[in-house]
Amino acid sequence: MKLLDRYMSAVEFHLPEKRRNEITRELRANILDKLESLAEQQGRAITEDDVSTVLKELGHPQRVANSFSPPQQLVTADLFPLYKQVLAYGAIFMFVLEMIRFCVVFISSGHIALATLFSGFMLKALLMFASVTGVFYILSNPPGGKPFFKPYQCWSPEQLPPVTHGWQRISLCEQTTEFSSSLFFFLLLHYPLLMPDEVMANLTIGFAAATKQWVPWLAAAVGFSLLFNIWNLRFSFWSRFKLAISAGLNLMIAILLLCMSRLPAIIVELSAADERVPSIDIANSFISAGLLWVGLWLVFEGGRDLYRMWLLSRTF
Amino acid sequence: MSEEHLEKLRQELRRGILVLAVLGSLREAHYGYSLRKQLQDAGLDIDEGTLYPLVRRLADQGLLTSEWRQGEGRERRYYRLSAEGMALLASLSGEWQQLNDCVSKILEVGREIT
Repeated sequence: MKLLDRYMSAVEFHLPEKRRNEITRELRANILDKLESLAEQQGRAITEDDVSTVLKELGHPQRVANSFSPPQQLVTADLFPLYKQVLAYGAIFMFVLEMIRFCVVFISSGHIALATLFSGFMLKALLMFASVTGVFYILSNPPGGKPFFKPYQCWSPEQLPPVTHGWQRISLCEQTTEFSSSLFFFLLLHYPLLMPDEVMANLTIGFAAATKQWVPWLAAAVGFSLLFNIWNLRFSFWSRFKLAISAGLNLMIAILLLCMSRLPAIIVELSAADERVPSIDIANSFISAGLLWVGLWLVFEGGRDLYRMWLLSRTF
Repeated sequence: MSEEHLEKLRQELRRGILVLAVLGSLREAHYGYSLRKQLQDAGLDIDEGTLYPLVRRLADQGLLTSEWRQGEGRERRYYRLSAEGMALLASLSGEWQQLNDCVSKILEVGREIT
Protein backbone atom coordinates (compact mmCIF):
# COMPACT_ATOMS: atom_id res chain seq x y z
CA MET A 1 0.00 0.00 0.00
CA LYS A 2 3.00 2.24 -0.40
CA LEU A 3 1.48 3.64 -3.58
CA LEU A 4 -1.77 4.51 -1.80
CA ASP A 5 0.14 6.37 0.92
CA ARG A 6 2.11 8.30 -1.69
CA TYR A 7 -1.08 9.12 -3.57
CA MET A 8 -2.88 10.31 -0.43
CA SER A 9 0.10 12.44 0.52
CA ALA A 10 0.06 14.05 -2.93
CA VAL A 11 -3.70 14.73 -2.74
CA GLU A 12 -3.30 16.13 0.79
CA PHE A 13 -0.65 18.59 -0.43
CA HIS A 14 -3.15 20.22 -2.85
CA LEU A 15 -6.04 20.44 -0.40
CA PRO A 16 -6.85 23.47 1.77
CA GLU A 17 -5.44 22.90 5.25
CA LYS A 18 -8.82 23.20 6.97
CA ARG A 19 -10.36 20.31 5.06
CA ARG A 20 -7.26 18.20 4.53
CA ASN A 21 -7.80 15.50 7.19
CA GLU A 22 -11.51 15.11 6.61
CA ILE A 23 -11.26 14.66 2.84
CA THR A 24 -8.20 12.38 2.76
CA ARG A 25 -9.64 10.19 5.50
CA GLU A 26 -12.82 9.68 3.48
CA LEU A 27 -11.07 9.31 0.13
CA ARG A 28 -8.74 6.66 1.54
CA ALA A 29 -11.74 4.72 2.88
CA ASN A 30 -13.42 4.87 -0.54
CA ILE A 31 -10.27 3.67 -2.35
CA LEU A 32 -9.81 0.82 0.13
CA ASP A 33 -13.44 -0.20 -0.47
CA LYS A 34 -12.80 -0.28 -4.19
CA LEU A 35 -9.63 -2.35 -3.78
CA GLU A 36 -11.46 -4.77 -1.51
CA SER A 37 -14.21 -5.18 -4.10
CA LEU A 38 -11.60 -5.76 -6.80
CA ALA A 39 -9.92 -8.46 -4.70
CA GLU A 40 -13.29 -10.19 -4.28
CA GLN A 41 -13.94 -10.09 -8.03
CA GLN A 42 -10.52 -11.51 -8.92
CA GLY A 43 -10.37 -14.00 -6.06
CA ARG A 44 -6.83 -13.04 -5.04
CA ALA A 45 -4.93 -10.53 -2.96
CA ILE A 46 -4.39 -7.05 -4.38
CA THR A 47 -0.96 -6.23 -5.83
CA GLU A 48 0.75 -2.85 -6.17
CA ASP A 49 -0.05 -3.02 -9.91
CA ASP A 50 -3.76 -3.22 -9.09
CA VAL A 51 -3.41 -0.27 -6.74
CA SER A 52 -1.63 1.69 -9.45
CA THR A 53 -4.44 0.95 -11.97
CA VAL A 54 -7.15 2.02 -9.49
CA LEU A 55 -5.32 5.24 -8.63
CA LYS A 56 -4.78 6.05 -12.31
CA GLU A 57 -8.51 5.61 -12.90
CA LEU A 58 -9.24 7.99 -10.05
CA GLY A 59 -7.08 10.69 -11.64
CA HIS A 60 -4.11 12.95 -10.98
CA PRO A 61 -3.81 13.92 -7.27
CA GLN A 62 -4.03 17.64 -8.03
CA ARG A 63 -7.15 17.18 -10.16
CA VAL A 64 -8.78 15.03 -7.48
CA ALA A 65 -7.92 17.60 -4.78
CA ASN A 66 -9.26 20.46 -6.92
CA SER A 67 -12.55 18.65 -7.47
CA PHE A 68 -13.21 18.94 -3.71
CA SER A 69 -12.72 22.71 -3.71
CA PRO A 70 -15.47 25.08 -4.86
CA PRO A 71 -14.88 25.94 -8.53
CA GLN A 72 -13.06 29.25 -9.02
CA GLN A 73 -12.88 31.32 -12.19
CA LEU A 74 -10.60 34.20 -12.97
CA VAL A 75 -13.58 35.92 -14.61
CA THR A 76 -17.07 34.40 -14.63
CA ALA A 77 -18.91 33.86 -17.91
CA ASP A 78 -21.46 36.48 -16.79
CA LEU A 79 -18.81 39.16 -16.33
CA PHE A 80 -16.64 38.20 -19.31
CA PRO A 81 -18.26 40.46 -21.98
CA LEU A 82 -17.94 43.42 -19.59
CA TYR A 83 -14.33 42.41 -18.83
CA LYS A 84 -13.44 42.43 -22.55
CA GLN A 85 -15.09 45.83 -23.00
CA VAL A 86 -13.20 47.33 -20.04
CA LEU A 87 -9.93 45.92 -21.41
CA ALA A 88 -10.61 47.45 -24.83
CA TYR A 89 -11.39 50.89 -23.37
CA GLY A 90 -8.44 50.54 -21.00
CA ALA A 91 -6.15 49.89 -23.99
CA ILE A 92 -7.49 53.02 -25.72
CA PHE A 93 -6.96 55.07 -22.57
CA MET A 94 -3.39 53.83 -22.22
CA PHE A 95 -2.71 54.53 -25.89
CA VAL A 96 -4.03 58.07 -25.51
CA LEU A 97 -1.86 58.63 -22.41
CA GLU A 98 1.20 57.39 -24.27
CA MET A 99 0.23 59.47 -27.33
CA ILE A 100 0.12 62.61 -25.16
CA ARG A 101 3.58 61.81 -23.85
CA PHE A 102 4.81 61.15 -27.40
CA CYS A 103 3.35 64.47 -28.62
CA VAL A 104 4.92 66.44 -25.78
CA VAL A 105 8.33 64.87 -26.47
CA PHE A 106 7.96 65.49 -30.22
CA ILE A 107 6.88 69.10 -29.83
CA SER A 108 9.40 70.03 -27.19
CA SER A 109 12.42 68.25 -28.72
CA GLY A 110 11.47 67.43 -32.30
CA HIS A 111 12.40 63.80 -31.56
CA ILE A 112 10.04 61.14 -33.02
CA ALA A 113 10.29 58.52 -30.23
CA LEU A 114 8.36 55.69 -31.93
CA ALA A 115 10.18 52.92 -30.02
CA THR A 116 9.44 54.68 -26.70
CA LEU A 117 5.81 55.09 -27.79
CA PHE A 118 5.54 51.34 -28.47
CA SER A 119 7.39 50.16 -25.34
CA GLY A 120 5.58 52.68 -23.12
CA PHE A 121 2.22 51.58 -24.48
CA MET A 122 3.04 47.88 -24.01
CA LEU A 123 4.11 48.45 -20.40
CA LYS A 124 1.03 50.53 -19.56
CA ALA A 125 -1.24 48.05 -21.36
CA LEU A 126 0.22 45.12 -19.39
CA LEU A 127 -0.22 46.98 -16.09
CA MET A 128 -3.78 47.87 -17.05
CA PHE A 129 -4.48 44.22 -18.05
CA ALA A 130 -3.18 42.94 -14.69
CA SER A 131 -5.15 45.57 -12.70
CA VAL A 132 -8.42 45.03 -14.58
CA THR A 133 -8.06 41.24 -14.32
CA GLY A 134 -7.40 41.58 -10.57
CA VAL A 135 -10.54 43.68 -10.09
CA PHE A 136 -12.65 41.24 -12.13
CA TYR A 137 -11.19 38.30 -10.17
CA ILE A 138 -12.47 39.87 -6.95
CA LEU A 139 -15.84 40.64 -8.60
CA SER A 140 -16.04 37.04 -9.85
CA ASN A 141 -15.04 35.51 -6.50
CA PRO A 142 -16.45 37.95 -3.94
CA PRO A 143 -15.55 37.36 -0.28
CA GLY A 144 -18.54 35.67 1.35
CA GLY A 145 -19.88 34.57 -2.03
CA LYS A 146 -22.36 37.45 -2.32
CA PRO A 147 -21.85 39.31 -5.62
CA PHE A 148 -21.02 43.03 -5.38
CA PHE A 149 -23.17 43.80 -8.40
CA LYS A 150 -24.99 42.01 -11.17
CA PRO A 151 -24.22 43.22 -14.68
CA TYR A 152 -26.95 43.65 -17.27
CA GLN A 153 -29.63 44.40 -14.64
CA CYS A 154 -30.12 48.16 -15.17
CA TRP A 155 -31.28 48.51 -18.73
CA SER A 156 -34.42 49.02 -20.76
CA PRO A 157 -35.16 48.61 -24.47
CA GLU A 158 -35.76 52.38 -24.66
CA GLN A 159 -32.12 53.03 -23.74
CA LEU A 160 -30.76 51.00 -26.67
CA PRO A 161 -29.26 53.15 -29.47
CA PRO A 162 -31.57 53.70 -32.46
CA VAL A 163 -29.36 51.81 -34.91
CA THR A 164 -30.83 50.31 -38.08
CA HIS A 165 -27.76 50.20 -40.37
CA GLY A 166 -24.54 48.35 -39.56
CA TRP A 167 -22.42 51.41 -40.42
CA GLN A 168 -24.20 53.43 -37.69
CA ARG A 169 -22.08 51.67 -35.07
CA ILE A 170 -18.75 53.44 -34.61
CA SER A 171 -16.11 50.74 -34.25
CA LEU A 172 -13.53 50.83 -31.49
CA CYS A 173 -10.79 51.12 -34.13
CA GLU A 174 -12.52 54.14 -35.70
CA GLN A 175 -13.02 55.79 -32.29
CA THR A 176 -9.37 55.27 -31.35
CA THR A 177 -7.99 56.52 -34.68
CA GLU A 178 -10.17 59.63 -34.73
CA PHE A 179 -9.53 60.49 -31.10
CA SER A 180 -5.77 59.95 -31.25
CA SER A 181 -5.29 61.94 -34.47
CA SER A 182 -7.44 64.82 -33.16
CA LEU A 183 -5.46 64.83 -29.93
CA PHE A 184 -2.14 64.77 -31.79
CA PHE A 185 -3.03 67.75 -33.99
CA PHE A 186 -4.61 69.63 -31.07
CA LEU A 187 -1.36 69.34 -29.11
CA LEU A 188 0.74 70.16 -32.19
CA LEU A 189 -1.20 73.35 -32.82
CA HIS A 190 -0.81 74.37 -29.17
CA TYR A 191 2.93 73.71 -29.05
CA PRO A 192 3.86 77.15 -27.66
CA LEU A 193 1.91 76.31 -24.49
CA LEU A 194 3.70 72.99 -24.04
CA MET A 195 7.26 74.03 -24.73
CA PRO A 196 9.63 75.38 -22.10
CA ASP A 197 10.72 79.01 -22.77
CA GLU A 198 14.38 78.07 -23.39
CA VAL A 199 13.33 75.53 -26.03
CA MET A 200 11.06 78.11 -27.68
CA ALA A 201 13.91 80.59 -27.79
CA ASN A 202 16.17 78.09 -29.59
CA LEU A 203 13.68 76.85 -32.19
CA THR A 204 15.10 76.79 -35.70
CA ILE A 205 11.76 76.28 -37.47
CA GLY A 206 8.34 77.87 -36.88
CA PHE A 207 5.06 78.64 -38.61
CA ALA A 208 5.20 81.32 -41.30
CA ALA A 209 3.32 84.57 -40.62
CA ALA A 210 0.60 83.64 -43.15
CA THR A 211 0.19 80.22 -41.53
CA LYS A 212 -0.17 81.78 -38.06
CA GLN A 213 -3.34 83.59 -39.27
CA TRP A 214 -4.98 80.22 -40.00
CA VAL A 215 -3.75 78.37 -36.89
CA PRO A 216 -6.35 79.73 -34.38
CA TRP A 217 -9.20 78.70 -36.72
CA LEU A 218 -7.70 75.28 -37.26
CA ALA A 219 -6.99 74.87 -33.52
CA ALA A 220 -10.62 75.74 -32.71
CA ALA A 221 -11.96 73.27 -35.31
CA VAL A 222 -9.64 70.50 -34.09
CA GLY A 223 -10.65 71.31 -30.48
CA PHE A 224 -14.33 70.86 -31.40
CA SER A 225 -13.41 67.67 -33.22
CA LEU A 226 -11.67 66.39 -30.08
CA LEU A 227 -14.75 67.08 -27.94
CA PHE A 228 -16.91 65.42 -30.59
CA ASN A 229 -14.67 62.33 -30.49
CA ILE A 230 -15.03 62.15 -26.70
CA TRP A 231 -18.79 62.24 -27.21
CA ASN A 232 -18.45 59.38 -29.73
CA LEU A 233 -16.48 57.32 -27.21
CA ARG A 234 -19.49 57.51 -24.86
CA PHE A 235 -22.26 57.18 -27.48
CA SER A 236 -20.69 55.11 -30.23
CA PHE A 237 -23.33 55.32 -32.97
CA TRP A 238 -24.23 57.75 -35.73
CA SER A 239 -27.47 59.71 -35.64
CA ARG A 240 -28.57 62.36 -38.15
CA PHE A 241 -27.61 65.09 -35.66
CA LYS A 242 -24.14 63.65 -35.07
CA LEU A 243 -23.62 63.13 -38.81
CA ALA A 244 -24.52 66.78 -39.38
CA ILE A 245 -21.92 67.88 -36.82
CA SER A 246 -19.34 65.49 -38.27
CA ALA A 247 -20.00 66.72 -41.83
CA GLY A 248 -19.71 70.34 -40.66
CA LEU A 249 -16.43 69.70 -38.83
CA ASN A 250 -14.91 67.65 -41.67
CA LEU A 251 -15.79 70.25 -44.29
CA MET A 252 -14.64 73.15 -42.11
CA ILE A 253 -11.25 71.52 -41.42
CA ALA A 254 -10.99 70.51 -45.11
CA ILE A 255 -11.49 74.12 -46.25
CA LEU A 256 -8.88 75.36 -43.76
CA LEU A 257 -6.35 72.71 -44.83
CA LEU A 258 -6.95 73.31 -48.55
CA CYS A 259 -6.50 77.06 -48.06
CA MET A 260 -3.31 76.49 -46.06
CA SER A 261 -1.97 74.13 -48.74
CA ARG A 262 -2.05 77.07 -51.21
CA LEU A 263 0.23 79.24 -49.04
CA PRO A 264 3.72 79.87 -50.49
CA ALA A 265 5.37 78.62 -47.25
CA ILE A 266 3.87 76.86 -44.25
CA ILE A 267 7.00 76.86 -42.11
CA VAL A 268 10.00 79.19 -42.12
CA GLU A 269 13.45 79.12 -40.56
CA LEU A 270 13.87 81.20 -37.45
CA SER A 271 17.61 80.92 -37.02
CA ALA A 272 20.28 83.27 -38.32
CA ALA A 273 21.23 83.24 -42.01
CA ASP A 274 24.51 81.34 -41.49
CA GLU A 275 22.56 78.45 -39.85
CA ARG A 276 20.19 78.01 -42.78
CA VAL A 277 18.10 74.85 -42.71
CA PRO A 278 18.76 73.23 -46.10
CA SER A 279 15.63 71.15 -46.40
CA ILE A 280 13.09 73.87 -45.62
CA ASP A 281 11.80 74.06 -49.21
CA ILE A 282 11.42 70.30 -49.48
CA ALA A 283 9.64 70.25 -46.08
CA ASN A 284 7.22 72.96 -47.27
CA SER A 285 6.48 70.98 -50.45
CA PHE A 286 5.75 67.85 -48.40
CA ILE A 287 3.57 69.70 -45.88
CA SER A 288 1.60 71.44 -48.69
CA ALA A 289 1.00 68.13 -50.47
CA GLY A 290 0.03 66.50 -47.15
CA LEU A 291 -2.44 69.26 -46.33
CA LEU A 292 -3.93 68.99 -49.83
CA TRP A 293 -4.47 65.21 -49.60
CA VAL A 294 -5.80 65.29 -46.02
CA GLY A 295 -8.12 68.14 -47.06
CA LEU A 296 -9.42 66.13 -50.02
CA TRP A 297 -9.90 63.07 -47.80
CA LEU A 298 -11.91 65.19 -45.33
CA VAL A 299 -14.05 66.48 -48.23
CA PHE A 300 -14.79 62.84 -49.05
CA GLU A 301 -15.62 62.09 -45.38
CA GLY A 302 -17.86 65.15 -45.16
CA GLY A 303 -19.65 64.06 -48.35
CA ARG A 304 -20.05 60.55 -46.95
CA ASP A 305 -21.55 61.98 -43.75
CA LEU A 306 -24.08 63.97 -45.81
CA TYR A 307 -24.95 60.87 -47.87
CA ARG A 308 -25.48 58.86 -44.67
CA MET A 309 -27.67 61.64 -43.29
CA TRP A 310 -29.78 61.34 -46.42
CA LEU A 311 -29.96 57.55 -45.96
CA LEU A 312 -31.11 57.95 -42.35
CA SER A 313 -33.71 60.59 -43.30
CA ARG A 314 -35.21 58.02 -45.69
CA THR A 315 -35.29 55.34 -42.98
CA PHE A 316 -37.25 57.31 -40.38
CA MET B 1 -21.25 14.62 -35.26
CA SER B 2 -17.93 13.57 -33.75
CA GLU B 3 -17.76 11.04 -30.92
CA GLU B 4 -16.13 13.68 -28.73
CA HIS B 5 -18.96 16.18 -29.29
CA LEU B 6 -21.56 13.49 -28.60
CA GLU B 7 -19.80 12.57 -25.34
CA LYS B 8 -19.78 16.22 -24.28
CA LEU B 9 -23.51 16.57 -24.90
CA ARG B 10 -24.17 13.29 -23.10
CA GLN B 11 -22.21 14.52 -20.06
CA GLU B 12 -24.13 17.80 -20.04
CA LEU B 13 -27.42 15.91 -20.12
CA ARG B 14 -26.36 13.62 -17.27
CA ARG B 15 -24.87 16.39 -15.14
CA GLY B 16 -28.27 17.90 -14.49
CA ILE B 17 -29.77 14.71 -13.14
CA LEU B 18 -26.81 13.55 -11.02
CA VAL B 19 -27.89 15.56 -7.98
CA LEU B 20 -31.39 14.12 -8.19
CA ALA B 21 -30.04 10.56 -8.54
CA VAL B 22 -27.68 11.00 -5.56
CA LEU B 23 -30.35 12.57 -3.36
CA GLY B 24 -32.77 9.80 -4.34
CA SER B 25 -30.23 7.11 -3.43
CA LEU B 26 -29.41 8.67 -0.07
CA ARG B 27 -32.89 8.23 1.35
CA GLU B 28 -31.08 5.29 2.97
CA ALA B 29 -27.59 5.63 4.41
CA HIS B 30 -24.62 4.88 2.13
CA TYR B 31 -20.88 5.31 2.23
CA GLY B 32 -19.07 6.55 -0.90
CA TYR B 33 -18.30 3.25 -2.56
CA SER B 34 -21.66 1.64 -1.75
CA LEU B 35 -23.45 4.68 -3.17
CA ARG B 36 -21.49 4.35 -6.38
CA LYS B 37 -22.31 0.64 -6.58
CA GLN B 38 -25.99 1.32 -6.05
CA LEU B 39 -26.10 3.92 -8.82
CA GLN B 40 -24.10 1.60 -11.07
CA ASP B 41 -26.50 -1.28 -10.43
CA ALA B 42 -29.37 1.07 -11.34
CA GLY B 43 -27.64 1.77 -14.68
CA LEU B 44 -26.04 5.12 -13.82
CA ASP B 45 -22.27 4.78 -13.95
CA ILE B 46 -20.79 7.89 -12.34
CA ASP B 47 -17.08 8.56 -12.31
CA GLU B 48 -15.66 8.55 -8.75
CA GLY B 49 -13.92 11.84 -9.39
CA THR B 50 -17.36 13.37 -9.92
CA LEU B 51 -19.40 11.48 -7.34
CA TYR B 52 -17.31 11.92 -4.18
CA PRO B 53 -16.85 15.70 -4.51
CA LEU B 54 -20.57 16.04 -5.35
CA VAL B 55 -21.54 14.20 -2.17
CA ARG B 56 -19.20 16.45 -0.14
CA ARG B 57 -20.75 19.55 -1.73
CA LEU B 58 -24.28 18.40 -0.94
CA ALA B 59 -23.22 17.70 2.65
CA ASP B 60 -21.62 21.16 2.92
CA GLN B 61 -24.91 22.65 1.74
CA GLY B 62 -26.72 20.92 4.60
CA LEU B 63 -28.68 18.58 2.33
CA LEU B 64 -26.98 15.47 3.78
CA THR B 65 -26.02 14.38 7.28
CA SER B 66 -22.98 12.19 7.80
CA GLU B 67 -21.37 10.04 10.46
CA TRP B 68 -18.28 7.85 10.73
CA ARG B 69 -19.01 4.19 11.50
CA GLN B 70 -16.67 1.26 12.16
CA GLY B 71 -17.38 -1.88 10.17
CA GLU B 72 -15.46 -4.84 8.74
CA GLY B 73 -12.27 -3.62 10.36
CA ARG B 74 -12.40 -0.22 8.71
CA GLU B 75 -14.09 3.13 9.24
CA ARG B 76 -16.50 4.52 6.67
CA ARG B 77 -18.38 7.75 6.38
CA TYR B 78 -22.11 7.21 5.91
CA TYR B 79 -24.35 9.83 4.35
CA ARG B 80 -28.12 10.20 4.30
CA LEU B 81 -30.65 12.89 3.47
CA SER B 82 -31.26 15.65 6.02
CA ALA B 83 -34.73 17.16 6.46
CA GLU B 84 -33.70 19.94 4.08
CA GLY B 85 -32.46 17.37 1.58
CA MET B 86 -35.78 15.48 1.82
CA ALA B 87 -37.72 18.66 0.99
CA LEU B 88 -35.40 19.42 -1.93
CA LEU B 89 -35.70 15.87 -3.24
CA ALA B 90 -39.52 16.10 -3.22
CA SER B 91 -39.37 19.41 -5.08
CA LEU B 92 -36.79 18.24 -7.64
CA SER B 93 -38.64 14.93 -8.21
CA GLY B 94 -41.78 16.86 -9.16
CA GLU B 95 -39.77 19.05 -11.48
CA TRP B 96 -38.08 16.01 -13.04
CA GLN B 97 -41.43 14.26 -13.65
CA GLN B 98 -42.81 17.36 -15.31
CA LEU B 99 -39.75 17.79 -17.51
CA ASN B 100 -39.71 14.11 -18.39
CA ASP B 101 -43.38 14.23 -19.45
CA CYS B 102 -42.80 17.32 -21.60
CA VAL B 103 -39.69 15.99 -23.30
CA SER B 104 -41.32 12.58 -23.86
CA LYS B 105 -44.26 14.27 -25.56
CA ILE B 106 -41.93 16.35 -27.76
CA LEU B 107 -39.91 13.28 -28.72
CA GLU B 108 -43.10 11.33 -29.41
CA VAL B 109 -44.40 14.05 -31.76
CA GLY B 110 -40.99 14.19 -33.48
CA ARG B 111 -41.05 10.43 -34.00
CA GLU B 112 -44.52 10.59 -35.61
CA ILE B 113 -43.38 13.30 -38.04
CA THR B 114 -40.25 11.38 -39.12
